[in-house]
Amino acid sequence: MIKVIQAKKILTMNPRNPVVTHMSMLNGKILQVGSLEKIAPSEKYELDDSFKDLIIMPGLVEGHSHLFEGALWSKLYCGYFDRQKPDGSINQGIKNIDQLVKNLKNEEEKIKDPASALSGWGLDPIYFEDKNLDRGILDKVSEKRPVGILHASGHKLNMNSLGLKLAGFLRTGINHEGLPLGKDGIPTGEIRGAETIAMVTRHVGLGKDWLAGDAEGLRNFGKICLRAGVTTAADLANLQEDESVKMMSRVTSEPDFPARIVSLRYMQGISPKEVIKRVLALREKSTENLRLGAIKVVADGSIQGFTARLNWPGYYNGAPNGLWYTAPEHIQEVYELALENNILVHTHTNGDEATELALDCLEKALTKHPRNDHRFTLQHCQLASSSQFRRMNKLGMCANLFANHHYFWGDEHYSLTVGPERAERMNACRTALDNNVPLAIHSDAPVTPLGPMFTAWCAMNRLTFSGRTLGDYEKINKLEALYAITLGAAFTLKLDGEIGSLETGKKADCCILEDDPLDIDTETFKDQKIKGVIKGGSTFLVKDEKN
Amino acid sequence: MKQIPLTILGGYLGTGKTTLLNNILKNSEKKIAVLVNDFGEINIDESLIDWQEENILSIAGGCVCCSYGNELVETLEKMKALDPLPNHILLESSGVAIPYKIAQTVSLMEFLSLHGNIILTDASRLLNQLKDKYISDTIQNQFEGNDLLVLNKIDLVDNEEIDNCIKELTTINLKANILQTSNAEVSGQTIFKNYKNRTSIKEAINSDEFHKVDKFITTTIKCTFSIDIKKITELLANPANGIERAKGFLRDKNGTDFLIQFDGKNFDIDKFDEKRESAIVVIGRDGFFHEKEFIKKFNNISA
Repeated sequence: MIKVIQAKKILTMNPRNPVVTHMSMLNGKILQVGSLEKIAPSEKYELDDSFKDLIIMPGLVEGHSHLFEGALWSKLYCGYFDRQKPDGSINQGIKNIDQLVKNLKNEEEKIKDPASALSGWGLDPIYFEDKNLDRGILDKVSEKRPVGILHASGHKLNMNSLGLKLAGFLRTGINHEGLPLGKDGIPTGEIRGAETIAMVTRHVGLGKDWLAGDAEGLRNFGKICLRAGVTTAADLANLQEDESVKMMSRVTSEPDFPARIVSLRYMQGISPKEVIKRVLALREKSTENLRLGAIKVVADGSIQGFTARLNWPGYYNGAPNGLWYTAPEHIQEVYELALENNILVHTHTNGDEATELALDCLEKALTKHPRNDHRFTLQHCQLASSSQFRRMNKLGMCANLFANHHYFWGDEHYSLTVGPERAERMNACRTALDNNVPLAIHSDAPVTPLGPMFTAWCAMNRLTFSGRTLGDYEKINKLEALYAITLGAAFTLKLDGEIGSLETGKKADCCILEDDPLDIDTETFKDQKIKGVIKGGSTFLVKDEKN
Repeated sequence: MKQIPLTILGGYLGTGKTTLLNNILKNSEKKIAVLVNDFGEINIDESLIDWQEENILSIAGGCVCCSYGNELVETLEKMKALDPLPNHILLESSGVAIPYKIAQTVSLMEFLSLHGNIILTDASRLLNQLKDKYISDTIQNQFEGNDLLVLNKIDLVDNEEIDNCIKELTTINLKANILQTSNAEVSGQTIFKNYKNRTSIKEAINSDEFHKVDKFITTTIKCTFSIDIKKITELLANPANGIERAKGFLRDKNGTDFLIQFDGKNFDIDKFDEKRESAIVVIGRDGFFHEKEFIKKFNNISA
């Protein structure tokens, strides 16, 4: 039967019909939006007025996140910032080392199995006054069980003496840049770099199985989406092994799963030819709730990890240039094959040299395999210059900028990584729009918390954690920001015909809000209350928060 | 703990690493484990594959080949559990990886003993690559800490170009031992040498042992008749025939199917239930193994 919902206001993001009160739906899709007089069906229908005091807008689209955000919560959150758990409760941020030790001790007491490790994630000691966190401090938490905490960046991990011993590193004679030594010649317990971290994680309960993307983790991810008003989330770097594709397909179709997932196959450990074959096969396995068949390429590393590839003059503190994570020739090859086969490619480029390379590769590939509307998208694309945005426009590229980054790392970029001028141009949303580059903005959850409204706030205000405005010119306005987290993000995923605005024929995917975002000040935009979502016509409400 | 020797094979994309590995896989008498970023161009005769799990291929004769993707450490850990343990691990680093960093990681794993860091470079592209705006620093960083620099594909350039390459390479890395070659023809001996134990290999570098490449011949013989199993083992084991390895599905006169495997010394003979076409693949050493003669002998032992 046709269902009509009534709201205080429905913001459609469709300029022909921007604000209405009613929306009729059938089979999970939108029949019409408008006033009841205008759209009332002639046949019998069900009127749902439960939103009559609320605001409805298109379901938000998170254009760059990772499903393991949901799995992280099985371990203790140790980050500096308050963060909401999948169940809605707030995990208070840890502001100093004493508090860290106290929280870890509390958690330690809860673990019954004497053999299991105590593990945490999200640590960010750069915000601590005393940044020295060696194994002695974690030994205070426990000497009897291994303790390990992964940093927010994912590039460092701290462990206690027992953890080090189990990994075989509690000894002298080690000479390795990933294992800094203390005065006694024994590693301090800080582990640096992905390869070194991979050697110790299983000894501290953070092994591969932790993030294997189990069904429970995915359900948790769904809960996080619901609280953020997200009805479609892009999962940006998945290896998509058969078992995990089956699991994703099953879980996303469960009736109480509130979001749709667009998962991109990570080109890692697979040649360009093979990845094309693989995604062509996967494309056929797409469902209404799980979209497959696109590729993610990672060109370089991260700016704060000094692994991003920068153009001259490089890093502000003189660090050597970063690393290529994928060979330029492979990027060229996969672009050509993808254009030939009409496959969407999103490319991670943090540094401006990586962006330059992606532009060069696409320009060449398009000469060989011309294709209109390929929508190749640069992800993060944080340091892109104005001329690079102009090239993106000429080549038909989209940008999904990492607007949240300013808030969490902007101060560091200003003083350490790239210096004032480039820190102010980072994530240049205004310049992207000025040059007609289709724009989305993202959280890269779990790197920063998933929440498009917060991301929009970041793009409008460009404030850092210390309160500095970083690049006034690059701010965008409210409507532009709302567009970036709905239709803009949908466009980069080639889904703007199905989601991103509320109009006839599109999916009935909505975000339910307490207040009208157009009435809220840009300064407090991040604090708006999300009441739930509608996905394919079904309502999912946020349960009351436990604190 | 018994340590497994490990050699890193590094170098940029297209320098001949895979060609070299394919040579080694075909021609090595050792039970080696070859680790590659992805199977991509690795070329293993399907008839020689014993079994395959997601990222690990077992090859008749005792070699394995694994792809590690972004799980290098985990894949190395798995080598510890292989039965039998490999005699040697050959680790092919990805085209943009920095091998000395991998060497550092390997040095932390106590069950491994690093024997060498061998870097390949392409003589026909090196000079351009060192000027390339995107990859010149990557190429230079890859040379750091190497034990042997293989200047490959010298057949594609003239002597002047080779001299220029060597000049550049010695400027970047004064102590480099440079081996010139084409088609990645580097002998197994050179690859498996323990460079970490020798004070100087400079004198040896251009002696014959570095270039002598063992050549092998692979022949597949389809078998339309029943076989006397005892006779076939005698035939394969006879040193005069120069057989290094063999694997076959053969049927005896009672109609029973057997899987026969020979690693140069020992046989593995098992009954085999699944119906398969009778055939045998033999690998023999060039100069000792004479294909036509062998096929004739083989055809003479029908039961």
